[in-house]
Amino acid sequence: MTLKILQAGLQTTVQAAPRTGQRHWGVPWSGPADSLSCSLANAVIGNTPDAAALEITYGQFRVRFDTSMRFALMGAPAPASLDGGPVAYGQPVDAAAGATLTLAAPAAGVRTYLALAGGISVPAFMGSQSTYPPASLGGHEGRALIDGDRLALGLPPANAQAAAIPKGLHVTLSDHWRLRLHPGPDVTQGSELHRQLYTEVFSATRRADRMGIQIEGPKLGCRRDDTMDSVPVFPGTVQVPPDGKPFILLCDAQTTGGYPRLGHIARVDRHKLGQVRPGDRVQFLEVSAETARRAFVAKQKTLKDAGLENALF
Amino acid sequence: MTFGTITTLAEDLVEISVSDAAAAQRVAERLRPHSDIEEVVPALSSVAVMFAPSAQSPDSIKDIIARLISTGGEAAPRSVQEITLPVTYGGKAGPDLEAVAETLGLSTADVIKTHTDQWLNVDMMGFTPGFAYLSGLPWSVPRLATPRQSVAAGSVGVAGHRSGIYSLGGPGGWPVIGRTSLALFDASLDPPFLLAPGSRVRFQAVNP
Repeated sequence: MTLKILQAGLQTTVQAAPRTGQRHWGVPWSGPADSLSCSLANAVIGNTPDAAALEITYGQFRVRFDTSMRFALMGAPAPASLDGGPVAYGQPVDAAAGATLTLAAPAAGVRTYLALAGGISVPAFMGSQSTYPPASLGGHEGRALIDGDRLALGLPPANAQAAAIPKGLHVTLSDHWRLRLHPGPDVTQGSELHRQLYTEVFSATRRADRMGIQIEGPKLGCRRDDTMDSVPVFPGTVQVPPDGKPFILLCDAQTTGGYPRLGHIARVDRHKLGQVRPGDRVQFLEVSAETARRAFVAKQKTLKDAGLENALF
Repeated sequence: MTFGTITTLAEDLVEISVSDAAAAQRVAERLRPHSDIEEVVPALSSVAVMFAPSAQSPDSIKDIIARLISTGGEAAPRSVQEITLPVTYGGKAGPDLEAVAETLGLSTADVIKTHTDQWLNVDMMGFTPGFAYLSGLPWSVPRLATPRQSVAAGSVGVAGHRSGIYSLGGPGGWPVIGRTSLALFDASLDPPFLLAPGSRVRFQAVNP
């Protein structure tokens, strides 16, 4: 069971469960930037939600299946065709041996997930198969795929139970993101910074990758402290360097940061960050820990009811 | 073992204030085994704890943290690893050496002498795999106003009264004064990290 990458596109990596529990060594999580879409793609073909899949950035991707296999697509809706015929997202699709799957550029979102029955077979490093290119860890040779790469698949689960995904669970793509944000330790309630954070509309800049997304907006009334000690940061942390342009951290983010923290995106919304494009508008909604926790638990219940209790998000 | 306030940062994240980096390491070791705790990251004066929000709330995890910290004996003292790191200062290896010297009102030779003069302590690991935060320098250096998009692996930076070694190439916000040829992170080794919290490091100036 192998497939050959004919056109790798801008950045295609193998991503699976994140490399958690190692941040105290400086090891970032990695894993799919839009973890929910990746989990759903795996689930519809009966894989475990954290099976190794391909994360494709901005489409423009082509792959040939050397043997017949089942696959599913989720995430940014890059128009897809299998030997010229259209391919639906969120459905199991059977490809014949020798068939070619082509993705064009998506009109919205950033990352499309291609899950394959049995998952991609790559070795794990520190408990995770996910690719972290800056340190050449995990995935296929620790790097983004290039044209001509050949990947092997694992054995499909014998009693594969394909999950049907309730419509409400599909990630809704937008060019205007309203993200729930816990106010950070460097934002005082009632301050001008607090007001700006929750009323202004920011815009994602071109400095966007798996480490973080830079956003810009009005000049923030943030104190500048060039010598503050570095503190732990996580995917979802929003921090602001002295130039006043905040960064929202993503899955490959560093584990510590030395800039004031404006807040933390609620866990229930974190997977959406993987689909924010340069130019998209970003607005923050203030949320309390209790409200955010209730929203997370409710979403997890919806997933569980659909047979997806182990979905990553 | 004592600790200060525990602050809620998110529905799955709290931060414990502690007196110093060594206390943060001790607190972290107590908390790491708990099954509802996903990440424990000790820092210089705090410990961040990420937990499963389906199993615990910020309030319930705070109770667990307080209980875990206040029970159990003192950890056995560990042997201290001492490592000398060869560094090429200035030029392409240390593009910010002159600017740092100017900020501090020192000659570049004095910056190098101070940087190599003493054993520095690894207070914590973080940022990228194998990056070590060292303490013990007698000055305070501001960070770069805009982080560099690319810093070479092995670059030796300074910020505040700390020094740090970039274990990988990539973006970075610390002024860079030199570069070491030793690998801070090697995935083929077990453990893959050259340094650990509590290690002591001395820099040694070498010719390029």
